[in-house]
Amino acid sequence: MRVLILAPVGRDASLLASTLTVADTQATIAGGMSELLAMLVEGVGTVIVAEEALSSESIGQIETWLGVQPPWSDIPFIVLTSGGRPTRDSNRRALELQRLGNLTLIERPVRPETVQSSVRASLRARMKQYEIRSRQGALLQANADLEQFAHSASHDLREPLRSIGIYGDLINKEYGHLLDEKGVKFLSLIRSSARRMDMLLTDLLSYAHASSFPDETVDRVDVTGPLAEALENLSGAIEESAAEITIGEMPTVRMRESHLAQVFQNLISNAIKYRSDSTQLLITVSSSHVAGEWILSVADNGIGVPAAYKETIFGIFKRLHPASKYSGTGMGLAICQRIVERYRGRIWVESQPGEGSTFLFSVPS
Amino acid sequence: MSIVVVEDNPDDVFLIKEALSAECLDVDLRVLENGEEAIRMISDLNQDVHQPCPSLMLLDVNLPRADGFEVLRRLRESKRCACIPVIVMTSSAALADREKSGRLGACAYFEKPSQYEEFLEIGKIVKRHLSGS
Repeated sequence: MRVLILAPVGRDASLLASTLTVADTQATIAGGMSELLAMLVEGVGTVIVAEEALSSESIGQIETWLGVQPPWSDIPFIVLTSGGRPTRDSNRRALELQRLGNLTLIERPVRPETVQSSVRASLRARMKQYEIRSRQGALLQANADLEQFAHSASHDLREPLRSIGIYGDLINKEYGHLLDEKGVKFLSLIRSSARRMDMLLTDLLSYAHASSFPDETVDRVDVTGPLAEALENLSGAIEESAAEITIGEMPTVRMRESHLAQVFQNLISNAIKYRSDSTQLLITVSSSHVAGEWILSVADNGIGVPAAYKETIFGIFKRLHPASKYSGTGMGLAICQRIVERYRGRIWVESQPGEGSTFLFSVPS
Repeated sequence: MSIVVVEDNPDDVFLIKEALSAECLDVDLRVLENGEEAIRMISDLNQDVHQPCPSLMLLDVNLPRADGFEVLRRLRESKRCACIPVIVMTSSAALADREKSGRLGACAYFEKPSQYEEFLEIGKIVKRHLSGS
């Protein structure tokens, strides 16, 4: 790792460089601010700057550059100050220098050991940052591999499963009349198990895909569109349950339309599925803007969620009821959570058993 | 009329035949079992202008040797075959695959279902695109 030095006045730069060379540290001298900025791009362990080389403007330039560092990076700056008694000016100046972020001030005249030890400490800290970078890279890779695995596994598992289901249908269609009651029952078990496994794999696949899209390029979309799409996809269930659906004013947010549609579809389909037998089903979709984020919500007057399960219901394959009572794979809310968190939002539920639930999720605005 | 089916799973080839006959489609069916064979067919067609082009292609995505997207890309780049309508079939419910098919110019995307009656839909889709072309 190299140390960049910017000290254009006097002999400071060459003295510093030789001090560091004695301590086995590679030092590079920059002729001016623009050269320093160009060198920063190429990678640097730490930067030593003489205070007089830092105008307000150049501090601003460095600050801008630091602002676009990757999250793991925090370049250490060592600024050699002019010394003397603290004055109002020097105090203001010190405040301005804070904008460099990871900053150490050393007062001149400075002893060689002081520079050497400060540089060594900075380089050690910088080395840790590089370690974090490589660990983060490995983690991202592992995550991508896992998604790829889930994708191929669910894809490859589906192939033979589809054949079991379809050829089960064909046996039933063409040879069903040859089977006795027991045979018909066994065949029906095979077919329904194949369907159920197929549903599980489909949901597992959506789960794996929920976070595999890069979100840097996402444009703003009007929530109304994907919400309408979700309602359209559920039109059969909505009609059957005679649900009364109220929709408030919807904002525009930065999310993929397909992801928004999927979240709404899962939440509304849950509201329909877990409705109360005795009351007319009312579903309200609304939005509000709170502290820099949009909160979108789906409220119902259904059976509600017991307090003890408010967290667990968002887990993978988590179900509170047997499949014979409420169909489903237990993946719907897990998929919602994964999508919402992809956009740095949160999802949660507010509910009183017997009085309905409100599922809310946030999208940073 | 001739249809090329690029599909490595014989179970699905059987179902495709069922679906076509359910629609009374009397077509000449040519089955290719991997992506490489399909790419070779495309380049053969480019070299021999007297060989007739198929009217339609049914293309699985998950194929040995070269995947369906690679076949589709080669097809769209080829001089003679660029306009052949292609129906992409896959057992993947992945949105990315659907979008990719659209970008590469597939005219329809068929997510292979796990119920017999639903699988027969592919016959209707083929019929629609044959009458449209």
